[in-house]
Amino acid sequence: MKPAILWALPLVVLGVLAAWVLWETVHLGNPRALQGAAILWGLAMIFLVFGLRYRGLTMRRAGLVLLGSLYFGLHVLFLPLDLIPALTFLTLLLAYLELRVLAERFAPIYARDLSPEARARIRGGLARAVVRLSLAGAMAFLVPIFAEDLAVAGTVPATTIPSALLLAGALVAVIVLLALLPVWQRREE
Amino acid sequence: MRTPLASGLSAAPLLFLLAALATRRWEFILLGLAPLVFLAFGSLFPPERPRVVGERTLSRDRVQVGSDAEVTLTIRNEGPSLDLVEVLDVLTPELAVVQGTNHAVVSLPEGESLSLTYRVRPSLKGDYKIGPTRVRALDPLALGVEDALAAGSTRIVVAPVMEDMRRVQLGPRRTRPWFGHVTSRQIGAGLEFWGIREYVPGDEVRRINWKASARLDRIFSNVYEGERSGDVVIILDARWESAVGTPTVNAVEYGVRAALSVADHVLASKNRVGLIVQRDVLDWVPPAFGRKQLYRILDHLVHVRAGGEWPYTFVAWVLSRYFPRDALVVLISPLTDRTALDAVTNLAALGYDVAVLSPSPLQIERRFLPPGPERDLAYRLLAVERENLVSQLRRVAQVVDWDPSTPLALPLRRMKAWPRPA
Repeated sequence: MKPAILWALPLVVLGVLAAWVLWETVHLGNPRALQGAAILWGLAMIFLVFGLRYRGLTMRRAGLVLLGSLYFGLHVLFLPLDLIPALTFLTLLLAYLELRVLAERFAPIYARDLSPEARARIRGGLARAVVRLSLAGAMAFLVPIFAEDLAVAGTVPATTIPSALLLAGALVAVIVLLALLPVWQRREE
Repeated sequence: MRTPLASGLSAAPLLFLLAALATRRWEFILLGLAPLVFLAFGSLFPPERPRVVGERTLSRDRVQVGSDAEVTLTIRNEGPSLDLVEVLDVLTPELAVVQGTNHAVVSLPEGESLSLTYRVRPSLKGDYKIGPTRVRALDPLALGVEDALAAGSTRIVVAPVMEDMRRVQLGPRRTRPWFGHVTSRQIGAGLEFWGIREYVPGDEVRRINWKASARLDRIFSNVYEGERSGDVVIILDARWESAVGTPTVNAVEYGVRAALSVADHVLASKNRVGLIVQRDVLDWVPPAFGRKQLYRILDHLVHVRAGGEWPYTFVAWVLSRYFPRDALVVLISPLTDRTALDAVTNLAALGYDVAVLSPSPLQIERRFLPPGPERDLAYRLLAVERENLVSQLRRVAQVVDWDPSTPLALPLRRMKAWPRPA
């Protein structure tokens, strides 16, 4: 794989995300909201472009957060929030982050003069990472849809207060568990 | 170790949860599941702490600037299988990788080895370390990493480029009572004919001048000028203000190159050579003969970096205290200030034979400036100033104004003998 393709993939995904948010912005009915959203979109683009051009990590992060917040903000305040498009947007955002990391890891290596053996081994590592990323992306997209189906079918009563509390508690528990897992592992060692 | 991405993904579901509670929309709860799935997927296959052993071999541990050395790094995984592992053999910026790679991201199953071969080309002289080798087990989803060291550091000494000085006549004018290559104007063992004298028992038969003996009816022997050796002290100006140019191409680096070449040439002619370096510290190598002395001087020169502001008075003190008085003093300086003029005048007044070798800072700077009338005018003005300084120096010493883009031997060969004969 050429380094140019590795670098281009996250940029394509980012372009799609930016175009998506712009599309939703220009279709806002409220002129004042349109003006505000356009300014925020422009600001996000400035952050992203400068962050990508000058390798500014903070600016790039600020641009991404602004773009994501703008999308969800628009859907909270002015537009309806449909699960599947919102989930697609979120999965694309996560895919962008992961592809960017992959490009940063592998593109500089591919740009070098490598022996066929080293190239084959690096290709193996990249393939493994891509497979893992594809699986995670697919799961991240499908699991919430299944959850919605279960809730709509009434299998899980999602609209009651106890189930909302239970779900919130479960979310917090999982996050705490994930946060503490490395510390526990280190203690065991 | 958790990465910033993992922390961000952990925060995202909480934010979605808050958004769901604030807006009373259950869709946000479901959206919070997406980053959670990523996190869960990552924590299913966390990166193991790498247990790897590395070994590094170098084709040469002493190289010259611009020439290559091949490095072979072999990493063996003695721990659990590593899904994705990043291997980086740490290099200093002065060592550029010209072939192969010192950096790889691969899968490394248990018991398997990875071999990386690459060639490095140093751009600057110095004493460098290759390594250590850093190994980082990665999570394919970039949510966690585990670091380890695989191999220690390996030393590589990068020597400056030596100039070709084969046809240069460079040596001390005053000699000492040791055999060498310098014609001493005293009778002794040598090749230059000096005269004849009456035969005395013990004279070699091949030295008998048969023509003179036949003409004068007595036996006469040829006598020759004795070839002796002398002392040369090289003073290298490596002060801050002498570092005109870039970190790799500057007057101090050219000075180092010239000092090593002069030392090699003078030592090859069986003379003693000493060295004084003006840098952060004022250090010196006492005069001595031979190949070992060249390596001693090389070891000192390899560590020379521009710095310090030692005035010439201290150099003169060291010279008078630790070096012989009848040595030839070769001052290698870009002559960026007029203190060199006073120093050379004082040394000459003290009775030293002084020669100045000056890598031209004007020529170095000129290379880095875009062509134009302003550059040419500035160059002409500065060249006049420099010529003035050089002509003043020439009253008391022999001066070689060296354009570093040309070989050093070129300005030296233009002179019949350097320094001028008495």
